[in-house]
Amino acid sequence: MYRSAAVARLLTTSAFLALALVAQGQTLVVRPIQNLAFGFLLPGVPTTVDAAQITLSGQIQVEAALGTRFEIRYTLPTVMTGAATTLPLTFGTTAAGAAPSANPASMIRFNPAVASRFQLVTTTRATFFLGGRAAPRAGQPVGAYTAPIVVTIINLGL
Amino acid sequence: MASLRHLTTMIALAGAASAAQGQSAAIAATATVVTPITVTGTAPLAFGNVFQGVNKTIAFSDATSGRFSLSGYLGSQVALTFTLPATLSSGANTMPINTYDVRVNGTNVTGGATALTVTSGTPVNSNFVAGNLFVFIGGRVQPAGAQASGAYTGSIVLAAAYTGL
Repeated sequence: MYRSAAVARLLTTSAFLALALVAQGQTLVVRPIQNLAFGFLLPGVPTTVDAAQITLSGQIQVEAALGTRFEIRYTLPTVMTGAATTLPLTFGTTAAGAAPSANPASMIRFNPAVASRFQLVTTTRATFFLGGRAAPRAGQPVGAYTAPIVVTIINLGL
Repeated sequence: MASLRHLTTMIALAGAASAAQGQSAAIAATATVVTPITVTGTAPLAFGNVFQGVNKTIAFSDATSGRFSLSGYLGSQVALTFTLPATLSSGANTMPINTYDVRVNGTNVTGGATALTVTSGTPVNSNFVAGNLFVFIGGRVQPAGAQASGAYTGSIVLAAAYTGL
């Protein structure tokens, strides 16, 4: 309803302000879908998970009204922790992807280390995929390792 | 028309970003570092002397059954792929071998071993409950009535790969 400036201009001032406030508070929902899972790693053998690997890549879903613009920012860890030590973790410049569905085939690649902006044009949901590379050292102790990945979405409105 | 527009180069909205509140979601990066699987053939499936026209069976629990030992990450699942020969060879001569009886156990004893339904070349699942697996293989040879004398051999190959926890 905010696509046309002409429509807004037809409203009274009070009505326009009220609608503007609603727009600023437009609901935007962020849902974690799945972790970035490297599975089993052998000491000394680096493993890369690509964003397009649907069962392994980290995924979140953003849902908002059509036309919503938003910014996505990843807080990326440099290591996973476990077994009383750390395991190096890196993310390439095309490690992230955004798609208008849960299918990564049509995703747009982007750099997860840089804040990126998107707009929901013909869909109300977008899925964000994240890959990465884990590089266990030759003497990496066995055990389970984990690291938090925080994804912040800033609603920029319609 | 794109369903999702990437606005990285759009700068007109810079002011709006600071005014809006962010929402966060957390996921995790996860991995499990495991020890490599080791597979060791510890004893051949040995039929000893056999006679023309007389089948001979070695049970999995017999002292001369074939044996492998494996070690892997405690509690992990593993796919075992056996390559089982259909014949033993002695030069140009062959002798059928079949009716394999394959069992696994977490300890190196045949008592309590679990039967595996094995098809040559097809993975079958097991797990490293205690970090080790022991495989016992029995089988049967069928010498023909006119089987040529000689020493017959064949290779039994076991490959193992992690499949998960």
